[in-house]
Amino acid sequence: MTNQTAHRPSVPRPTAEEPEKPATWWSRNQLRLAPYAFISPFFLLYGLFFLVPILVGLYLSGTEWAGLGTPQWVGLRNYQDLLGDRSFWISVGNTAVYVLFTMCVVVPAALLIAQALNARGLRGRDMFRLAYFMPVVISPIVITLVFGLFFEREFGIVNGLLRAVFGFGGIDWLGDPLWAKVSVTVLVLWRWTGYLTIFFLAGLQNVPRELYEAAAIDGAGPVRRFVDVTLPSLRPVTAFIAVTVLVNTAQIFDEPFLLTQGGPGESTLSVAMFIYRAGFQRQQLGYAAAAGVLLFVVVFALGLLANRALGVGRDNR
Amino acid sequence: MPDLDRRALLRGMGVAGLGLLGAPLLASCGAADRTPLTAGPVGIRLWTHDPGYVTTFETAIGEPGLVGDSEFEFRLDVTNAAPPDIITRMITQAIADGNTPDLVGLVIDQFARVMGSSIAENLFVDLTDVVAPLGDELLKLAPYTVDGSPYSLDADNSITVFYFRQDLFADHGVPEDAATWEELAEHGERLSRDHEISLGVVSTGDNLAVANSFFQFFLQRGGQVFDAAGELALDSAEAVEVLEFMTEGVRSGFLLGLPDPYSSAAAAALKSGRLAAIAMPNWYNAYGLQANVPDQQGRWRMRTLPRFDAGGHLASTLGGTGFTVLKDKPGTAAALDLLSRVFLTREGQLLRYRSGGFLPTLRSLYRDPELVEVRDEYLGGQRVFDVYAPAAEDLPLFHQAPAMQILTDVLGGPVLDAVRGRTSPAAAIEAAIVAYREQVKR
Amino acid sequence: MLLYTFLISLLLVFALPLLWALSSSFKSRSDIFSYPPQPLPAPAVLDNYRTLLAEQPFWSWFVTSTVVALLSTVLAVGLCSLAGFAFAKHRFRGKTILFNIMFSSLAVPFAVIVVPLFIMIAKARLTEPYFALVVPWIAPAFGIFMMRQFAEQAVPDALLDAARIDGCTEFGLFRRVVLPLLRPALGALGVWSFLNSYNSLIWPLIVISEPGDYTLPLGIQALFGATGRQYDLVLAASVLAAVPSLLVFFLLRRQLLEGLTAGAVKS
Repeated sequence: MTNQTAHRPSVPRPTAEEPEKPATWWSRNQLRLAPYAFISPFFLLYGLFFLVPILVGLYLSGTEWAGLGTPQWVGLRNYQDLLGDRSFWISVGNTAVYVLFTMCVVVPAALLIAQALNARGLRGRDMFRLAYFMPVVISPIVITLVFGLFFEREFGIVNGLLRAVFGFGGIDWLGDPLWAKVSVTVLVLWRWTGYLTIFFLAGLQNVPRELYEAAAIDGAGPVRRFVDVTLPSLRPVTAFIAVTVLVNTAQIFDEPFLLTQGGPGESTLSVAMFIYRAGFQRQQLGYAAAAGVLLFVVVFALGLLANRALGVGRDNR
Repeated sequence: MPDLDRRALLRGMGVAGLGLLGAPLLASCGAADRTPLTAGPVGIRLWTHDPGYVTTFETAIGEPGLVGDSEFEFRLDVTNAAPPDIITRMITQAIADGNTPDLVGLVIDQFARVMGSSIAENLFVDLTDVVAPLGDELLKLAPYTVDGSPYSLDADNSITVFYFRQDLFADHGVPEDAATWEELAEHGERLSRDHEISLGVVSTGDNLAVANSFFQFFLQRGGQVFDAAGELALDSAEAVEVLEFMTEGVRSGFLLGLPDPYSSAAAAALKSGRLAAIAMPNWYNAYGLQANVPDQQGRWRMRTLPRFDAGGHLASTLGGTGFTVLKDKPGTAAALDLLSRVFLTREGQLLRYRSGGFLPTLRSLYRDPELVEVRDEYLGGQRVFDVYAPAAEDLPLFHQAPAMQILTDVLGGPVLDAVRGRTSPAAAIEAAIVAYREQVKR
Repeated sequence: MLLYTFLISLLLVFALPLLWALSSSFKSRSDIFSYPPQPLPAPAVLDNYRTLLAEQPFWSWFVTSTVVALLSTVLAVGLCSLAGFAFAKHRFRGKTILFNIMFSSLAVPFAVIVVPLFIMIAKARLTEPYFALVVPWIAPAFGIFMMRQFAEQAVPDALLDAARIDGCTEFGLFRRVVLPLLRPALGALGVWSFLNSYNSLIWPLIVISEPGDYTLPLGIQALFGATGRQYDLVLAASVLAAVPSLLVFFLLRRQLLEGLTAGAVKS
């Protein structure tokens, strides 16, 4: 049914939503004006609920404010303090680790799994997809519970397994500065891989089967087919996933917050947690806003770079 | 409202956003009435993290002996939220001139967040005159005092006692009346080596848990985190000594490193019998022991803490929740009246104990005939005030400062490093102090 | 066979925690953390669910969360596909700059806008969940970005041109030609949008203070924040709370799959 309408778009009839009145003027100008009409609802809401708060945030970053009373203007002092704040730099370093890990491990893993799920004649595809999707439907508190239970040093299941299998299992998963980072990245991997798979799968399903068949006839093996057919066809989707994952991971908050609260010490603290801590635990709203602005600048620059590199903004026509 | 939304859905997509914008704008006009109430029926907006306090206040307003002669007819309008969220939300609501509560329960370490930037002064009723008649009869005001004015009354005296498994102590020859931690540590080391049993907990979880675990021992040893003026007082021999005690305890197995005393690991440790004792405040009986190991009823007992060889107190303290009245609200007078009746009178505090097990904060009640006779079923019918009374007499007093949150953050890492043997206790305390000064400077 | 081994072991890894929560929600509180862990509740009890439903306004949280999430999803999917289509397939003055403005907002940390946004909403007295939890979030830059990327790939220009020659209006084009082609992406965006709204915690935490307006994450968070952590109730609530998300995913899986046929259209 969908195919039919797609093949032979019917001649438009005036309907309830498209009144006849402006038809003549509109039909003359619609190709020019339609895109504006299409994007205007977004920009209206965006301006009101995003641009305005951002401008206020920008102003706050130049003040000292605990939440009550009048914000006191301190100019660029917050930024100056931030650059000399060791905790801030630690959080930047940790976040960089998370970003690198996600881009190099989580994204490729998701693509691989999507590819596996897209295999022809796969039985139980729905069941697999549903199961892979489960991590994101679980309430964050249960994640704290479950992973706390898994990674705990004395009574944890992971160490229990290690002890049973290798006779060694004294890893302090959450209490050692290095292992705690590993645990957080494992949580990221567990939580988001299956989810990203959905997006890749949606993209894979738009790759015409004929291309694969043609490649198969040419004698291309699975690896060649993947490199020659899948990857190029998936470029826009991959670019989209890579850029959003980059931008989102740079703002990572949940995983370290749930698993380690940023600890031990500050060894898993992310920049977003640093902002949250300053704003919502220490009542330094101006300082938090300044850190937010810095994070924005960096993420924006990275996003733009990735954008260029992956050709998101390029016009395909 | 849902009807309006549903209609909006049916319109074109572009219009929907606008329709939604407009509808609630019209629907939710009308500002809150701000005239202060002085008598009659009043709904008190109460925010707290713990249903136990709700039960207490609800029982109280149904008690003619307690509220019968009040000008007000109380009703409660309760909001539950996690402790850190309560303050965040209260402050954001205050900024927006919105609906702050009339009466709010702030967990003690969260209270530190309102100590700076005149937040307490601007939002809360100064309780100086309310508590003045009680003199030093009223305990635990110090942590809630900002610039000499108390702003909050604690619901519980949070006395740390020593809970122990009487059966396991007997089986393994551990004396129930060990006078010092050092004496107990020797038994603990033996028990850990031979039976994988520990006699206490050191928190190794998030920074707050780690810091609290340290504070509890440190206060007992006679240390002060902040002095009365809010200056950091951590730079002391006691701090290093206590951290050495914790480190050595974990190393020998006498103390068990667990994320925190509420964690799943702690529950597992209790259940499996690997934890035969734990030093925790009174509320751990209900929320830690009875909640996780109800089947061990009758096997646990409690006593006052063993002392440190080098001196200090017979008791310690950890946690608590202060109740605070917000000022300039219609319900301010009513909330203050209710709070005074439940928190500052003998009858109120007895009711508080009966309804939620919260220990009195009036000094003389520890000798009150009604409480002295209280027996705890879970603890094998033990007379608990025989333990609480001497402990309350020697409870360490402590002060907080606005930078409490910062201290917690900078202390957690180094203390954990010391406990895990990655650094020396002296270096850890030093590192925490340096980091604190660096961050507070701003 | 290798494929199935791989997929099934992954399935275990991904599904295990939810299965653990499911199993534990039927255990009595003191059995939840027994060591060594028991995989199955013995005996299985319904107490946790019974207590939850009797003592907590669970259904009120549930309804608020579900309605807010569904509303946000439908509106977001509509707005985003419309704007995404315009950015992918139209040429217009200011397109690049507008796209970059939109795109840059992806990089704005939530913590920066949350306080100012709250002040605005609260001053306007709009802290009512069906407004405050919906309207500010129905035009996410992420969604537009996503729809644009998918539209670029999935909508052949030739098809659009043919339809235009046939005299199709731009909106008609969107509805009859573009939307069907975007189905898999609509499904993916719908799932994303639903989850985002349904799981959001910090924003509702700040903006909602009436207990009658609580969403599920708020309710569960309050249960967990109470002294002694009510693990038993938290587990029961979390299991029930997972149902709508799984259901949405299950229903939208057809949409996600229909891309197979739509993608076969040759340009």
